[in-house]
Amino acid sequence: MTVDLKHIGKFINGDWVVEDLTLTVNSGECLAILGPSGCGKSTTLRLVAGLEQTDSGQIFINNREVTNVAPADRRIGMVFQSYALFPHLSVSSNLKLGLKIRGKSAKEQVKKVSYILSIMQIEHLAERLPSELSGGQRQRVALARALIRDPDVYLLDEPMSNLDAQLREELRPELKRLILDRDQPVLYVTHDQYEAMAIADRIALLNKGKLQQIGTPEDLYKNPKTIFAAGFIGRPQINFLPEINGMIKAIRPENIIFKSEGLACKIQSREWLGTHQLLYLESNLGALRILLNSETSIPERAFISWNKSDEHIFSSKDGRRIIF
Amino acid sequence: MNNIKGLKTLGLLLVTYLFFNHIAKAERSLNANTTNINILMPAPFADSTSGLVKEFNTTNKGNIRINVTRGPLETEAVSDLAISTLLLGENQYDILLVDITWLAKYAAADWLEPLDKYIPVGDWKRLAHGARLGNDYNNKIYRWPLVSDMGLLYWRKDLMDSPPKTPEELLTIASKLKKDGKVKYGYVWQGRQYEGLSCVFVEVLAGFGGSWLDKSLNPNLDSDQSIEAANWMLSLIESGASPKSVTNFAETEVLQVFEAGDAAFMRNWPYAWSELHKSDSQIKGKVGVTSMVSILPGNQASTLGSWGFSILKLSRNTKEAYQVIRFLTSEKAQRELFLKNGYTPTSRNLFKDQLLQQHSEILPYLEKALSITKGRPQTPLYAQISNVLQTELSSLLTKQKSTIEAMKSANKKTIDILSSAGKKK
Amino acid sequence: MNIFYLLPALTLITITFGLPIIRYFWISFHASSLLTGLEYIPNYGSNWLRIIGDDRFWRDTIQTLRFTGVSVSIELIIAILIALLLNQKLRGRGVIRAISFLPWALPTAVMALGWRWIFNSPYGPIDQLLNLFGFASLNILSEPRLSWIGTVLADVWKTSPFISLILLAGLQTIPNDLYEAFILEGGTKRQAFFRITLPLLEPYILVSLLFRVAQAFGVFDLIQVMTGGGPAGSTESLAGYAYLNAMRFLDFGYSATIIVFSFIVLILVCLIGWITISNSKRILSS
Repeated sequence: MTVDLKHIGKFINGDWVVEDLTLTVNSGECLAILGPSGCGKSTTLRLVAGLEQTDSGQIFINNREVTNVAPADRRIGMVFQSYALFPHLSVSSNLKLGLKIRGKSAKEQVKKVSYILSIMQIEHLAERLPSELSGGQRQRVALARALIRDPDVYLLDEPMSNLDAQLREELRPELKRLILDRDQPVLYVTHDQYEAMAIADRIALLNKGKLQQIGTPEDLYKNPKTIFAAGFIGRPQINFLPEINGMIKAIRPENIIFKSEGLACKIQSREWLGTHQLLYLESNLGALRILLNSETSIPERAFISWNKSDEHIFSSKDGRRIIF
Repeated sequence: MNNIKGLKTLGLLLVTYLFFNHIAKAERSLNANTTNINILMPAPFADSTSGLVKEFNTTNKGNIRINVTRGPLETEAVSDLAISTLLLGENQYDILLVDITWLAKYAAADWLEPLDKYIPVGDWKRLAHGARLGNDYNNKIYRWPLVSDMGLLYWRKDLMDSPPKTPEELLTIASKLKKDGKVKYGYVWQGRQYEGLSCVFVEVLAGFGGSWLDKSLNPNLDSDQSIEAANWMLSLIESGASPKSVTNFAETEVLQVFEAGDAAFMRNWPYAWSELHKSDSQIKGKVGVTSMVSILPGNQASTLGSWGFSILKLSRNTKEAYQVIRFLTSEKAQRELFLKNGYTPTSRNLFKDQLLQQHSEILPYLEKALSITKGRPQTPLYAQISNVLQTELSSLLTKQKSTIEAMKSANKKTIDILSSAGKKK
Repeated sequence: MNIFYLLPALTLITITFGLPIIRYFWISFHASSLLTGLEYIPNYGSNWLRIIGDDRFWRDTIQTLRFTGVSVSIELIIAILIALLLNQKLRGRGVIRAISFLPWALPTAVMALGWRWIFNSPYGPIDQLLNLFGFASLNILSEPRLSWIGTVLADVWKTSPFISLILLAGLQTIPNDLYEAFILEGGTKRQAFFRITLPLLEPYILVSLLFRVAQAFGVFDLIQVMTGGGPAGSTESLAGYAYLNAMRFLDFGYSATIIVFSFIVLILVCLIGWITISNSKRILSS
């Protein structure tokens, strides 16, 4: 089971919101679509769902072209950011509605719903209305509604963004168990890079409707192909050094170390983060962030240095990585 | 910052208020000796008398000042307004312009001041016969008439040589003119379920020799004459002499049809004459006026509808109020109102006035109509019994009930209403 | 403590609604008319006995209920259609909205006069049009079996915008996600209307029904201007009858009885509505 997007684009109000996007999600794979708000990630998902029509390109699900197929016939399971549960229907009726519309028998409806409720471990919520559920419970119901249709692909639109940080952490393994570990490809839209890295097999990084880079989280982190990718992935943000000869060097805060000699710095401020500490420095090369182990003692006269191999070098002209 | 600005505005408003308040007070104290006489009139009367009021206020400066409240346009809405203030016991008005149908009710409610002691006997006799009617209740005079008003039959001089005299003739001529395509409709009248329908019926009933209540106030609505009269009205519609839509026609609709030249006959009040002779009228110079048809010549009748001034009991200035009434109803005032607004005079003298006769050719017809006016029953329960009559007539005209059934029911209900009054008295 | 904050509102309601109703209730057990010199004389429920035997009263009750039921139902259907239309992203939506609410802004007496003119025979536009195409005049306001329909039409024209305003507000609270989720489930637009829009609009529908039923049940000026209750009493409403008794007949005891009766009927209708609303309210408490 796969999803293939071939040169798809969406043109709205004189702008390409999604432009010439080509990617493949393989069987059993979870692909996170990551990017800042307005980068076109949600639109991409809606194009795949068929909630919006493409202006160019083709979409294949399971090698079947669905570019012009009605949303209901694309065999997708979608989870909305708002969950979009029907407020006037109980949990079990929410789950049943689709089955009913698709003409499944009453017996089958009951069977399927109780099966899904049991895997989601929400049998006790069956008769509640969405307004009587907590945020996490609503999310489970939304997942259950996607699951019950036994789709060919799962489309998840910021499914965790309405939950607090602790709940997100708790739910991630659940999500893995229930959806990500299945054979169906998963398209997971998020603006949260930690979530993307934690959940996805691969990440597609989008900016202004264009694909910046696609690869494993590690790949994106270690080999950012563009200045944008380098700046977007990794927190605290990578340090960009002043341009020299059309080249911009970047060095990640954790790759910088204190030395007895090297670049002289003045320490501006310090944030203690538990396992780490983040220092803001002022040097000849401008402001720099450095991330150290929280145990590291800070010298009075600071000199910093890093390995040449940790440097990322980009062309200032097109923002692309320069490989020597 | 904002608070200070707000305070400043508030202060300014306060100062302005005090200033104008002071001026108003000063003005009031200047006129401390002036008696204010407040009159409530329907809007059209307030407009037509405004010149007279201005004249009075200039000549009586410092003594009496008339303030006219321009009431609603519609007759009953004025009554509603008056009753509301009367029920609250406020002496907001000294004088009320009273429709003939309200008089008994208002007098019975003890809202009106009897005028007998103010009126010199000679003055009363100067009024035309019809104008004297409808001003008294229980042998006391409560109202001085401002304008006479009576039902007239308008006819088209260009379509016939002389107007019909009997119901039969009216029906035949109207049907024939309609059939011949001379007019769209034969005869239009007020058939809507409202007071106007009672007015129409009073005339027709008299023409058939009947009456609504007899001398001892017993209803006569199921008499042969009543049923014949009602049947004749129904036959107007059935025969096509009158359009079916008359059952929702009030004065306005009737005038509209006749004014457009679409009808041969119209039943309406004198005001229609001046409307028909406005510059944009289609039938100027083609209209004749007569009184309603009757089977016997002596039974011709014209429903009396008139407005007059009454002084309210709560008024503190009854003497001055009477002075105002006499001014507004003086022969001079009547002359002016007739020339300007076509208001039918109330003084006998004026019908003989050459100047007025020259001004309007219908004056003799008005005089004649005023001599054969027929009043509507003078009982405080008039509104109830008229409402019964209107509803039952409307039922038979729209064929919800047979004529006999409707008139019997009207008679019975009228007996019930009147006897309930007798019982409790 | 909380009751303290409610005090101003409660006082206002008591003065403007509570006291008059109590007063009317008291009057309804008294004779007060010209026959009593407008004094209040206890008559121990004989007004209420009179109501029971008053054919005109029961006819008016039925006519008022018919007017209310029919016009409010039609208004609701039209209002839903208008609201759905106005909820679309149309070009010039603001202008269309403003125009469609115009009838509601007109004073009732003015628009009733307008409708009397529209139905006027022979000069009204409807008659003119019918005659132009060779049809007979409709005479709707002169015909007892049809005249009430004329008043219903005028009422529908005037008050549908009011309901559609409330329903439009309701429609805008329904997130678009729900429709998309529904479409993904295989539903059609028509199904979406019945399975999502209508159920979610229910509280708004009920609120507007409460308003409108109360209003329509007290219909007065519209009928007064259009037909004066005729022909043959076929359009007389309870409010019209109460008005006649009070202002024309000066029979305040009986008029108060009619008013109290209407009040009781209305309270019953509103109670039913309120119970239905509070049942459906928990749906939208999210």
